[in-house]
Amino acid sequence: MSACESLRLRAAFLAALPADDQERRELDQHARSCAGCALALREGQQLFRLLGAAPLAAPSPQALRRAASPLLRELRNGQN
Amino acid sequence: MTDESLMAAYVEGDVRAFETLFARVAPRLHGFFLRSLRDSSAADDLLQVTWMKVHRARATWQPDRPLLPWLFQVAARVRLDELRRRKRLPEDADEEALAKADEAEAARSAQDSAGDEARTNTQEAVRAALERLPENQRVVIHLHRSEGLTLGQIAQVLGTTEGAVKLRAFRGYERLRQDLRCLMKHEEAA
Repeated sequence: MSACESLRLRAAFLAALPADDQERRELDQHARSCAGCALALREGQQLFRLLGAAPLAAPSPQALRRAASPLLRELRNGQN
Repeated sequence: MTDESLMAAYVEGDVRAFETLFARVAPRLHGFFLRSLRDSSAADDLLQVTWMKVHRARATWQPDRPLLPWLFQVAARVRLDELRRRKRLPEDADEEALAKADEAEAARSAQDSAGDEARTNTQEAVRAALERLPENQRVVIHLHRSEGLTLGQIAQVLGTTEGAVKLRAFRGYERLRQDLRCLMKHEEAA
């Protein structure tokens, strides 16, 4: 497998790493002079953004109350 | 106030600090269970179990360490117990044993849901793609993408190695890329 093939295969993962990560920096630098890897990087970044588009349903107030109530009772009674 | 200062006050018995901290982090712990199990009723129950454990163990939290990974560590142990029970795995089955059991199951469910790529709603398509991932990859992606934990922190939370977490993250992101490719092209063209 060539260096480009290896980078493109990992581009979705590497694009999710922080910009100061060593592997991410290597991809960023390489992508400046390689159109195919630049495209894979953009696709990875797009995926990372897209994953923010799947918010989870919030817990119901009842579920939150059920989890908090016994602890609040203990705290108010000064128990451990 | 930071999560850590609220936790320190909660450990000292401050009710208001507990209420504020709970309101801030309980939905995130619930989200972790919901992403893992895809079952809101189970997520409700496990949230309660987790907070009981947090409450019992609150004095062991070290104030010089970030709170969120510690809370997720407690939640991850609760998740592991639940998954062992659901998959009928032995009590000593660890995170990696669970991951192996998980892969075959995910492959079957991926076959069952073939054709889902025709979904047009972005939010629904992303949610469905995440749900098709094996659970062990889904929780890593969730903790990484949604909770902003580092791969090292995720390894600590799940009680496994950073290498194992990195492999799951790599496989998960790559599978999502393949799964959502059509949607990404469609969005780019729009």
